[in-house]
Amino acid sequence: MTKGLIIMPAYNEAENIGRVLDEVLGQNLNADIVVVNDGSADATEAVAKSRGVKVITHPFNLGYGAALQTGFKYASIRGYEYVVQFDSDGQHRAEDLFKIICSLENKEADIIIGSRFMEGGNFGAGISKKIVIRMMCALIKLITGAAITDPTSGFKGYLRQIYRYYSEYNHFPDDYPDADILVKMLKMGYTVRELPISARRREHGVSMHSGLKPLVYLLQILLSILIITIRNEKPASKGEQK
Amino acid sequence: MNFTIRIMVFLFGMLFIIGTIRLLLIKKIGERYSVFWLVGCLAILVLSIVPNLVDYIASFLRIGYPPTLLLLLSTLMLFWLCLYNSIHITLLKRRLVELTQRKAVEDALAEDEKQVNR
Repeated sequence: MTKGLIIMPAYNEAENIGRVLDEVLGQNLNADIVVVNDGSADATEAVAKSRGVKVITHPFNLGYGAALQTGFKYASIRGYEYVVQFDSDGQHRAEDLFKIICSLENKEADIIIGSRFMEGGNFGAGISKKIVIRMMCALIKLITGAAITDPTSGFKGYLRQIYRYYSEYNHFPDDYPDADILVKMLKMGYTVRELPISARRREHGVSMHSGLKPLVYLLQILLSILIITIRNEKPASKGEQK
Repeated sequence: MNFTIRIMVFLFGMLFIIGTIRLLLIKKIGERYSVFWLVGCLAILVLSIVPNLVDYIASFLRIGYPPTLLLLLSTLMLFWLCLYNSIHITLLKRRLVELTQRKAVEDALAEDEKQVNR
């Protein structure tokens, strides 16, 4: 077993996941890989297994956040030092994994975010998505003072104390964990660092944030941030967790 | 309220009570959830037997048009029921997610064990 685990949530990604796994495996990283097949109706599980990686399968679709949390639970039991979440739709580049993992191994921060918008990157997201992301960045800055450029990134790394906290019942949203969970962790005193990554548009399938969904999603996240701000949770035993 | 309407309301109330008890007998509804419906049906029965009750309560509360009292109370009760159900759906969903995740992780760990033993 290695020190790190790369968690790849996948839902109906049979067309993308094979290529993505080949790219990740080609990096020869010192980290294990687990694909969390979130009740896919296609051959996602078979394609992932054919690459020889660990696959955890949900019997039915639970949502992106729940799939990630399953990965955190597995990592927590297995005792990994850190985990990296990496989308299986081909949006992220496997070459960027190395710097995220290095940053985690050097314990540069509790949470490392792979940002698609740092150093002039704009990733080519749609207008509605860009508006949503800008609003979230402004809100995070307002509430926590932290300057985050890509709160919705699906490419993040967490040290043990973070993912263990997330793995617990009711500590992680089932659907899309984004700015709300980031605000929560910043307010709890954990450190966040962003590293620039390059991203590309998915080749096959539909993004979970397509169409009008970003606007509905924005309302949901705004409400979630408001509740988190009101709750003002503090880590019960941050020292013990570390 | 004329006699025909009163009979109709009474019959509807009885029908709901019988329906709820039948659901209880075949275990399609729990006792806890059936209480709300049984109390609601009894209220309908009481109103069909004593229709002037609404007028008395409305005049006590200084409501000029008594039917609005019925409308207000029924809307509030339905809102409360919807909220109660939403809370339960959220709780059940979270528990279902947790159970499903645990099962999936346990299966994965068992698979790991098998591979180690091979």
